[in-house]
Amino acid sequence: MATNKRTFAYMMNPTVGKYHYGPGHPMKPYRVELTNCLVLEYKMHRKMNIYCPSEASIHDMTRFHSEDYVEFLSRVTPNSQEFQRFYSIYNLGDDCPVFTGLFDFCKLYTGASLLSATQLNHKQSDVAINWSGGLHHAKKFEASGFCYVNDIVIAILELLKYHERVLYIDIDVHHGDGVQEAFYFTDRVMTVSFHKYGNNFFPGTGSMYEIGAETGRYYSINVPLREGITDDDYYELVFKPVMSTVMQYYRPKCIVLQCGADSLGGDRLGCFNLSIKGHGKCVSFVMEQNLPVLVVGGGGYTVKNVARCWTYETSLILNEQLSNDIPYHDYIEFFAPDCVLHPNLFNPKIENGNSRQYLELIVQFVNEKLRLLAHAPSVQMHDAPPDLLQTDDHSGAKPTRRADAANEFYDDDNDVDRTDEN
Amino acid sequence: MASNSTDPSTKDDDEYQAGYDEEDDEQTIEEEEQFGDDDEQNELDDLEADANMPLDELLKMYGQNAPVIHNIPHSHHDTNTSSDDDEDENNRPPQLHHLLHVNGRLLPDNDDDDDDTDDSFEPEIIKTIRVGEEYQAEVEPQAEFDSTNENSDDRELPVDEILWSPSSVDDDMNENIDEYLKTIRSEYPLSDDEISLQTLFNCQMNTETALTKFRQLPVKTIYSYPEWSLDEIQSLEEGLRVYGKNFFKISEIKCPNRSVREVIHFYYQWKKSERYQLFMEEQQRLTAITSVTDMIEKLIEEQEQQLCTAVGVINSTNSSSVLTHDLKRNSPNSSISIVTICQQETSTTTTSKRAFDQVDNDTDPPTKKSSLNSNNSPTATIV
Repeated sequence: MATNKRTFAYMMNPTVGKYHYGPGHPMKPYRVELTNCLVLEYKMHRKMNIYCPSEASIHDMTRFHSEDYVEFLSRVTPNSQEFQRFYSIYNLGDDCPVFTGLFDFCKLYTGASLLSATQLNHKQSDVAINWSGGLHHAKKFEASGFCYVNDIVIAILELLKYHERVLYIDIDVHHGDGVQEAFYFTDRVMTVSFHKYGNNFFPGTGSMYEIGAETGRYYSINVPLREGITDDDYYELVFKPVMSTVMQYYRPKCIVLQCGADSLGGDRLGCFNLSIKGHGKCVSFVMEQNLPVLVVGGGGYTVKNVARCWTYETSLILNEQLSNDIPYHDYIEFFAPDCVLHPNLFNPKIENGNSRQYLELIVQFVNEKLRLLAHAPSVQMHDAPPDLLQTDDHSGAKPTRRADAANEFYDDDNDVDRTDEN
Repeated sequence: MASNSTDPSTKDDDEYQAGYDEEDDEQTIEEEEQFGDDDEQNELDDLEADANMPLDELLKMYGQNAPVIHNIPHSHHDTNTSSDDDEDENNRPPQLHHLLHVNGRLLPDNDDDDDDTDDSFEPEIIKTIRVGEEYQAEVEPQAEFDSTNENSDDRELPVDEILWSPSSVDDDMNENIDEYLKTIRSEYPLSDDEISLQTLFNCQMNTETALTKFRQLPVKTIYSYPEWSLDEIQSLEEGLRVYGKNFFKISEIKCPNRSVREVIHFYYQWKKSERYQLFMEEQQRLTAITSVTDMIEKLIEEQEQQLCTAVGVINSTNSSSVLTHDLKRNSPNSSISIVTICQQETSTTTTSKRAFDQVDNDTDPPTKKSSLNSNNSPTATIV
């Protein structure tokens, strides 16, 4: 693994911003284009390899999704009577409208995530960035929450070919339900999500009691929060303690980080009060772990703040300092009148519903569950023979085989190694 | 944080539980009578309340403060109650493939979410993690490290194009590159730096060959979209007036020579131009705001409404759609960002969604006007 000189890959496709979800819809693919614009204006291309990824194929998508669903997505067009009958089956229509070029759009962002995963697999990059991806709500056979194809799941499936354990971190304000659901039963992927929970906030799942099932028990972590959480609370009281414990007990081989920017203050749909710097602290933490990282975008519905946030986080990844004044470029108007990288996003109208006690209790609960990981028989926490060899060279390694322990499978009432009634 | 101890719905044995919750629920009216509601009038009242209960519940649920159903002091929960389900939860064998949201004392306002019932009447939308073959991804139990796996890798790198790599650039080359870019920009002011840099990259950083190659390129911009004529711009504006931001229709009907992609691309350019200013002013004129006092009044109203809406929306109860939390949709007259009088675009036509009645959070009152130069290159350039 590279020590100080890391290679970075940045996915840039010029057409991914040319799609529009329809009138009034808050999700704007254009924000990625604006982000790319800023990244180039700040000359960050000097430190990364820039790729124009090819599109994903239907075959790629059916690695996770059902064939019917992908077939349908590939053929559906807006305003067509014959297709509208099927909309409800696949949950299309309102949140997930059918717009022109929908499938092309899906192919683009999924292709970018897949290329990122391949880059990490073949060790061509240490960190790969795809701001167009991160659509974490999509399910196996239906769309959800503005997401149609779950590029994260597909990328993780690709990463799993070469990495034993993958850690998925989700700092979008919404629960990362699609990814959690996909990997609910497995211990090879640990999903950690920090999100607003309660009062029927979308999607409704994500209580801290969702810890996984069967082999995947304790491999799902959920940190439900209330609205209005601020930087210090979020990072110092919640993110850092939880993630430190996760890293300690899970020891993943690589990390996928979903950086949904709707957890920022002033977001059109979100209700947290993080600043861009606060959000970025989470990214820095992940970078410090010195593991291969796949960074994807996600939510974020106040376009100019999304662009600012992701640009800043790109700079954090590259360890570059950016000036607070946005350099002049064609789209500077979007950031008028202040044209700064870090505006004040704090929304005083939203009260912080997270008391210190509440946060501590949640973290305590999570830690308890994580400690149980060490005793779980099905995961090999100590490194298998491949690590005794050159750490970069896996070609000579034998595949690891795990014997099934006698209590491998969940035995419902007879399962005595459950420690609580959850 | 609301206090938890008065919450009767917690199933934790240590907490106080209102007795009637547990005992009443699956009972019939006879049993209810045993609890002392012997009065016939009471019973009638109760029945009436029962009939009205759904509406009350609904109102309470969708009201400003997230209510707790269990606080309703009547025993008419029958099948509608969540504490009913608490019992079910207690008795339900754990191997059921529904992950139960256990009532926890840490989440006092989430009683509504914790219900797990298949009562179709239940106004809550119950969300649980779905488990089963149809939902999960297929994950191999172990990673396959051996090299035979390489061939099954469907993603082959050569298909993806690498546009730029800094590793091929030494520091002393920076000046050369800047010179190169300057030359190109002076010869072709409309070209995109990204193309010029990519050409340079493809020529192994040799600026001379790159220059020749670049000059020969038929397309020197990322997007080869032709310029928009005044007529076309006017049809676009027409389209926006009539169809709103339905780009599919605009492209189909108003701008038939332009693909949807081109229209969207141009739209974002146009948004930052002077013509956009004029367009929005015209939209404003459609609404009748005459005096400044009117505007100020409206502003104050709107700020108050915003405050209520923000809180109200946060407490809204439909978790199946992200868009219920869309503050813009719920208060079409307001803008969440800093509202200034000149930015305020109000529309009293709440019925019509065709005109620009939604304030775009993305627009700010531009302090410097940019002119839409029809010769302008459509994309950002690397400076």
